[in-house]
Amino acid sequence: MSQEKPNNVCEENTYKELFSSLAGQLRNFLVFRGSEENQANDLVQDAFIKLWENCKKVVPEKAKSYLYTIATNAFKNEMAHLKVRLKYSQSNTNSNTTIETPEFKMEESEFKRKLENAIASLPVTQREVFLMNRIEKKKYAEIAELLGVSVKAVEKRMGKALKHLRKNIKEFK
Amino acid sequence: MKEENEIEDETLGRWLAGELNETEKEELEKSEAFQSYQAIAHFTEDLELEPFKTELSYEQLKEKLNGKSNETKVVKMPVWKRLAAAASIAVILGLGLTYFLQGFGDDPTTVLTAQGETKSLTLPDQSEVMLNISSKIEYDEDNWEDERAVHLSGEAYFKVSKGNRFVVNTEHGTVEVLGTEFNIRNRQQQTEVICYEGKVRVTDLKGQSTVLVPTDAARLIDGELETNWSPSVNEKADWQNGVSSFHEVPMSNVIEELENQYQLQVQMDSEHNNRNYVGAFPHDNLEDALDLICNPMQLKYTIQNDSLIVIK
Repeated sequence: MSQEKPNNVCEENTYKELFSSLAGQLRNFLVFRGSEENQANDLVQDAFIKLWENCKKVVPEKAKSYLYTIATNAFKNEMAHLKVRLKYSQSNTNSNTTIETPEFKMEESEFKRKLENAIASLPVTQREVFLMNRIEKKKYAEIAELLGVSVKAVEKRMGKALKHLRKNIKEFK
Repeated sequence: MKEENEIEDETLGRWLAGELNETEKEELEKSEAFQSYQAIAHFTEDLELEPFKTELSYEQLKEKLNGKSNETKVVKMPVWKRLAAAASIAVILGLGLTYFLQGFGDDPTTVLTAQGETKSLTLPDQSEVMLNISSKIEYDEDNWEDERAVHLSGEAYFKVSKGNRFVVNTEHGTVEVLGTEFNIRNRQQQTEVICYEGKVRVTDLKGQSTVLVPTDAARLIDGELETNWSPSVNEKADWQNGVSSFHEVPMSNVIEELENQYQLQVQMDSEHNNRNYVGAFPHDNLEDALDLICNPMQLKYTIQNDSLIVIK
């Protein structure tokens, strides 16, 4: 028996499914923008409250960009520093390795620390794009759609971010 | 040798997505910076965030939505407070009942207090905890028999039943109970511990520790034990007598406590944040409280309205 798909998100199962699939990435997005973790959690819930209040007007397919827009507006701070510590997954923790390039020579642990600081100091527009790609493995096209910018703009921001990180690692102790 | 500024941002961006053609790639690989970019790309590939607690967050969301639909009176809090308090909103909208989160696999039991709200709870071993305002305690009920351990942020008074080791973890260090009654206040960058009965061991993040006997006190600042900190100690934790007291505590902490206690917002020039305050304020009279905070610090206050105080 096939049921007709709801064309809005007022149905609790649809709403809950959206929460399960989107809340986590929305939290990440807010953190990338410079929100603290608790605050991000709260803003995610606030965004979903707005979604519920407007559930009749939102078709499920549009819910994602709707939520990202609300979250963006809720946390607008162009200067925000990254507030949350990123972790390196287990796979890469053999500590005594040395990173050596024509420009850098340092221990892996030092490189990682500098890299983290450099990421924290990225301008928000570059950091959100960069981390959505690096941490969440989102494709540029998807990022462009969520942020309402062109793919070309995403490519540029990624390039700028790489330059910023390299410069930052080179220059700062 | 190619200089960085000759590489287009866009080209570099497309490289990271694996979209360059052979010629473009060769060109890029000639640059001195190329290996640096490779290293950055390699290590950022491996980054991750704490996983999001979807179930827990959904439960909190439902609480908020229920609170709304009942048209409960919404307690106004300044936005930034509201954000900081995160989950305690659920408590306020949920009409101030203790907010127990249980039953999500291995999630610990969490008890929260909102601004201006205190709470008593009994742990599985009948130990008692009195939780002061804007505080949170977490423990794992399933594991309780093996390990009596709680995680505290905020302030609480503990009456611990006799038994095995009882441990309170805070973000600044660990308090291990060798006897019975003590108070822990963990706010912002410091944790204060006062022992009222029995013995308590306090260990900082570096492993330094000290043992407290009744009326002894110790303080952890940024994860380090401060040994020569000696406030005057009464028979009971002051907050249980309706007073908040401070011994050499930064003004920013004092103001935060005042805001939480009276549920209002205070504006004060940030230059005063790190000045140390010694004194106390009552919980039942705002003007007395403000006098007691401001006079010794030679500050003046203005009560703008019910929810905003300006201190200069």
